[in-house]
Amino acid sequence: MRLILVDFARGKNRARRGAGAVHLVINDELDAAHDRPEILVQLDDALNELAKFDERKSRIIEMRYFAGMSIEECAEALGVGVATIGREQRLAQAWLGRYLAPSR
Amino acid sequence: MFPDRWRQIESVFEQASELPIDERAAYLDVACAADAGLRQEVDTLLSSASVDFITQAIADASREFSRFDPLVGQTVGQYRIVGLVGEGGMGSVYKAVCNDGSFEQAVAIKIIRPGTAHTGRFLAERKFVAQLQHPFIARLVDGGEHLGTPYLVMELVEGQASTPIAATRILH
Repeated sequence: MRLILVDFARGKNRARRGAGAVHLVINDELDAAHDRPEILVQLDDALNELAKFDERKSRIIEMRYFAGMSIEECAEALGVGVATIGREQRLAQAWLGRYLAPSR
Repeated sequence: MFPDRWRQIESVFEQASELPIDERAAYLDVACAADAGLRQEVDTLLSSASVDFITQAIADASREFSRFDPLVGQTVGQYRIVGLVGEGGMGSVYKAVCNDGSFEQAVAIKIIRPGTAHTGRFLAERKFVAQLQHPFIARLVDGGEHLGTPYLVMELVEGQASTPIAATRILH
C-alpha cells in the first residue's frame, strides 16, 4: 500500500511539474489537495531515513499508517508487546514530526 | 544517527514523555546534565509537530487513488483518452482525441468495465447503434477492443444530461 500510494503521489507530482503548457484543473477539491502528494513522497523519504537506524519504528509507522493495522496486530506481527508498539510509535511520530516540519 | 546515540535519546525521551509536562524539565536537567546535545535532541522531539497531517494526507491520497482512473492518458486504438466524462453501471465514457494528429476532433469512447458480464449486451448495443443514423442520435464513429475489452467510439456531444432537462421541461 505504501508503494502504491507513494508511486501514485510521485506520478501526480511529475504530471504537475511536467512540461505541460496546458494546466487542467479537474475540480477545486483536487486543486486544494495539491500539496498532499508531496507530503507522501517526503514521508516515504523520512521512513527510509528512519529505517537506517531504527528499522522497527519505520515498520511500525508503515503498518499503522499505510496498512491500517491496529496496535495489537502490529505487536503480533513484530513479536513484541502492545506497550512497546505504543511507546515506539510515540517516538517515531515525534521524530517524523521534527523531520518533516521544516518542509511544511 | 548512530545507533548508540539513538538508544540514548530514546531512553531519555521515553522517561520524559511518561512524566507530566511540568515535571519534564527537572528530569531532563538531571538526565542530560553533562550532555547539552542530548538535551536539545530530546527537547525538539518532545515539542515536535503533530503528525496528524500525515494521516490526513494518506487518507486523502487513498481516496483520490480509488477515484483515479488509469485509462486517462492511455491510448485506445488510435485515440488518446484525455478525461473521464461519466460512469455508469456498465462502464465508463471518456473524452478522447485522435492520436494521428490529422485532426483534433474530440470523440467519446464508451468502454465496458472489464470483468463484467455485460460484454454480450455491449456488443449488441454497438451493432445496433452502428445502424442508426439520425441528427439527434450520437453517431458511431469507430469501435474495437482494448486489451480484450470492447469499446465504441462515438461523436462527442457536449451538453447536459438528459434526465434533469426532462425533469424541468414539459416534453412534447
